Amino acid sequence: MKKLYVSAAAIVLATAVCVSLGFSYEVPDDEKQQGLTGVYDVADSGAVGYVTYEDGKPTIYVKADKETQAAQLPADQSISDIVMLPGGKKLFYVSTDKTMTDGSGSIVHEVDIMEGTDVVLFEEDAIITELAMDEGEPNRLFYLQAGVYTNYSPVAAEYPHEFDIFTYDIAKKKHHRLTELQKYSMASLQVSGIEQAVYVQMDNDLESTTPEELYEANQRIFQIPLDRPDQPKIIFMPMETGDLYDFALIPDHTTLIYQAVAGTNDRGIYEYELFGYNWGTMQTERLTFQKEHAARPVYGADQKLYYMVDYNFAGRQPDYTLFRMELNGSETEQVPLRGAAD
Amino acid sequence: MNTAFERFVKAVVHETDCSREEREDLFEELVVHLECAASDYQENGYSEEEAAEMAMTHFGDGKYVGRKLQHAMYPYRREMLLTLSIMSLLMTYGLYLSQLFVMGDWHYGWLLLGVATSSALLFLTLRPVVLLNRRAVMNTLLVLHITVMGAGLLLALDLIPPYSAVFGIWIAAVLLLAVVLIFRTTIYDVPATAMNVRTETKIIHYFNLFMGIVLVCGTLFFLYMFLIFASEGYLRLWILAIPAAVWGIVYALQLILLKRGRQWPAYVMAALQLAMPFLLFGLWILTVRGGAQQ
Repeated sequence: MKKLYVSAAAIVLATAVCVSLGFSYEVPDDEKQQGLTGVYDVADSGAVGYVTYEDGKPTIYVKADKETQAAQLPADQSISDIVMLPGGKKLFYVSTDKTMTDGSGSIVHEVDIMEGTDVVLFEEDAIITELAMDEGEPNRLFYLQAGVYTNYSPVAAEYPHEFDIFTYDIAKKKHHRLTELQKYSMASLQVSGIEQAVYVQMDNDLESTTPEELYEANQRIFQIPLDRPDQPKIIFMPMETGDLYDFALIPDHTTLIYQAVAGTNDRGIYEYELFGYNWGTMQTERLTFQKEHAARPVYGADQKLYYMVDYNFAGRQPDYTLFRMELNGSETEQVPLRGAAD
Repeated sequence: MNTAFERFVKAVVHETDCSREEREDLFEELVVHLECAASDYQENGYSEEEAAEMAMTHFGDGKYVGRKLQHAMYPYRREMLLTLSIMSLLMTYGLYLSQLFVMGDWHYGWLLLGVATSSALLFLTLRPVVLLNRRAVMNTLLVLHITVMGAGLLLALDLIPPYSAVFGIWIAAVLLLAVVLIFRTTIYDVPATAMNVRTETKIIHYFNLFMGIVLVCGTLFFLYMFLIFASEGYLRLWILAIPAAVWGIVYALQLILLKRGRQWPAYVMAALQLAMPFLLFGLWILTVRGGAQQ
């Protein structure tokens, strides 16, 4: 009987110790995020601005000749996108609540890296997910804004939806709604000042009418002329191409670099790679062979292709590393950044 | 009947997992044995009190004999239950602390549930309660334990390697042992009555237990899907427990019908269990669509 009492007391004591340890060592959700994210941009000077999390605090570093901390926000905030301005001395970034709700807003900041200043460019009572600029349109900041933050089913997580493209005139401080598409999803916004157009990835469902057609619609890249934003044009791709996700356009427009699923690994998780489609030769070429999650292609002014690889895709925390490669595939090198995977 | 013998034999019988009928038979048999031994001692010149004392002393320590009887009747059952409960307790603390220190998550609710079911198994094995219908209580407890450990498996898989592999394998072993013990309790460690030894009865048990395992796995899978993707509507989750509850009622009705010798209605009830996975799937769709329309 005595053994029973001792065992019971030991179990109660061990349980009490475990529960009390929880009070001291539980990490709040906001402070769990750690390490490099996939959010980065490359300036024409070669400076790389990127977002990393330090004990949950979103932090921007700029890696040029030396590495500089450009901004840091509280742990309840997140940085969705960053744009390096020509010369690599300034950048824009957009922040929003880390735990988004349908009442979340966004703040677009302007950072002067040399001066060390961070000022609010504008605030919106809606979720802004991406920013884009082009040298040909130096006074206009383009951004993707979601109309709602909701889930369309209880087994789907809440996400921003009903996207449209907006512009902000930096000199006149005026906003303008460019499109009236209210798309379920929209991403990878890019601007071409030369062509007076924006490019964006979204569902190719403009002519779909039935739920089946909507479900089967592929993700494609669209060109939206700035003077005719109600007439988006799909960028030609071979019929057999599956969904396209992120993309980068080579300035001379001979090649489209895009992210697509290349296969699955032995755990059944999709492997994403980067592909290049040449409109001249009408050939598709696989550019990366990481067998992981290659993403976020950016074509740098040094005519190299930058991209991130997430070594823990579909895991609890992403594990990013930045790579830089020659387009002919001759050389690929890792770009060491703070908080990146070893 | 000698009250000292009754007390002594009760302590012996107490250590076994017999059913009520078996316990009564064993009790009577042991008391008669002690009375015969005492009678022999009296014939050899001992007083009544001395003879009774000698009979009990030579019989051996009550607890020890009870455990030996338990082992003879149900080999290694007690050891299996002790292994299961100790493995589960250690795993519960280990997994909880790994989640806390590796992932920063504080799953105190699961810790308390894991400790509660593991401790209940441990103490019911170490100190059986005579008043309880031990098999029914043990099977209910094992089913509850499997559900809690199943949820623990989801927590283990949420960890980073190599923790996820270590705890995943550990919980898989715990679950396997618990399932084996349910089969033992239901099919093998039962009194050899006419009903229990019938092949049809065993098939009905196998079938119902298999369907029960399918339902528990299915319910945990849908729960996992819901917790991963959904951000609201948790109060509707109780609906997913309905098929498991109906399964339990239908299983109990089959056993009642078999006991009354009404085999065909019992088989028809057994066939009903095939509908439970479909009921679960239907309720899952209802939960999802119900939420979508809100």
